[in-house]
Amino acid sequence: MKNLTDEELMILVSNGNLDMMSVLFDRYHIKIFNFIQKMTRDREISEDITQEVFYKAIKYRSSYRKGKFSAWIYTIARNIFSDHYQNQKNKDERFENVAYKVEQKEQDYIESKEVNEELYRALNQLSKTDKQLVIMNRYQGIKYQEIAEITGSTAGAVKTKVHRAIHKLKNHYLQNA
Amino acid sequence: MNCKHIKNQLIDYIDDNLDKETSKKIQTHLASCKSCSEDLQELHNVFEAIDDTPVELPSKKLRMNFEKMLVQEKELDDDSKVVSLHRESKNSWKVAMQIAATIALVVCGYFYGKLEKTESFSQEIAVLEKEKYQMKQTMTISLIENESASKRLQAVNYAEEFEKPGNDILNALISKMHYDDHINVRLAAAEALSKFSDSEIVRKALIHALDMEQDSGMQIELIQILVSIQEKRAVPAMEKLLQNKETLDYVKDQVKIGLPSLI
Repeated sequence: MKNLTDEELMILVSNGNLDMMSVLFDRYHIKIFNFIQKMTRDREISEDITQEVFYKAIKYRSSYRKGKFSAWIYTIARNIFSDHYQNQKNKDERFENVAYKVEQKEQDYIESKEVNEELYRALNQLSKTDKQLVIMNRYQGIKYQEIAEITGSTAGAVKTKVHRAIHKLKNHYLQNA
Repeated sequence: MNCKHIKNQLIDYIDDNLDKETSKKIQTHLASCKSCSEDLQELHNVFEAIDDTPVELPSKKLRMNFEKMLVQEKELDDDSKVVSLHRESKNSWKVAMQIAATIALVVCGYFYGKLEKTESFSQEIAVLEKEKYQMKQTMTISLIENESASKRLQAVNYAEEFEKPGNDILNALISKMHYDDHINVRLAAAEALSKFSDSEIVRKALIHALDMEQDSGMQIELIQILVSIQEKRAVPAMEKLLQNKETLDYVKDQVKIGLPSLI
């Protein structure tokens, strides 16, 4: 089972072999967790969201349509993240709490890794979309074509956007330095 | 290529996404352009910083929760399977009943339809037959008054086809037998009427015709008819023919042959 492709495994899952999902969990949960963690900078929320991603993947296993599995799971992750983000926005009180939490975490990072902190700050200055694109492409090494599949765009458009976002990030990074 | 153009391609240059020629051009440009090479260095720094970012590992809780969720989902799946099996067995009964009901309905529908069809069909036929009969009668009567002798003859032949002709037809035939100018029409009418000799009007008409007919061919025809229908009341008319000097000999012979079987 270990040498089956993601897609083959997911087809088995959608046909009712739920155990195969744990192989996919092994392959993807750290990536998804890091993606969300970079976006939220909150480990707890990131774990919750990652958990929900795999829960939804099992729940909606029959909606999987033979496309690239990584694109499919990232699409789910992005949807859950933006739902979460919307909920946070709607609840002002909780939003403030999160902001406070983020600040606290930032303090932790300053103590541990200075370089990362400058980069994180620069990353946070980007728009949510740009941030997602940079994380997917540069942190997670997802190709333009696949990002296009995840975001429902074209490879060319994604490349242009990613490049622009990287230049912005670079400028923020230099200013912060 | 100007600096702006070069700067736009620096990321691809770092990622080695360019063809050799373009890559070489950029390389040459970078060697001589401070601004662009600074840009390249900055990008390198950012990418290095990104690559240096350690991969965060989630707590063990995440995996534990996943395993727990997977077990629950599998149970749910099994439950739904059990339920669905149960349902299926129920459903299979239901389905069988539904199929049986459908077949029964179709069969009933077929026979009902067939019955209905034959009934309405025969009703229709009856109506059509009646209409046809009426039309034929009307046609016969109107044709019988036609100026052309052959048409009248045709009409008489039509009239003959009626099994139980109405009085209209009989009266028309009788009047043809009595008064038609054409001997053939009178003959045909007489012949036709002989078939309806059950009717009293016809019998009387035949006797009357023999009494007043002058044509010898017609006289013979009438004698034969009256003898074959055993009409005794025709005897006086026949005797009158025998005594009439104008009556042709072979007509008299015919009377002599027929008369004994009537008396």
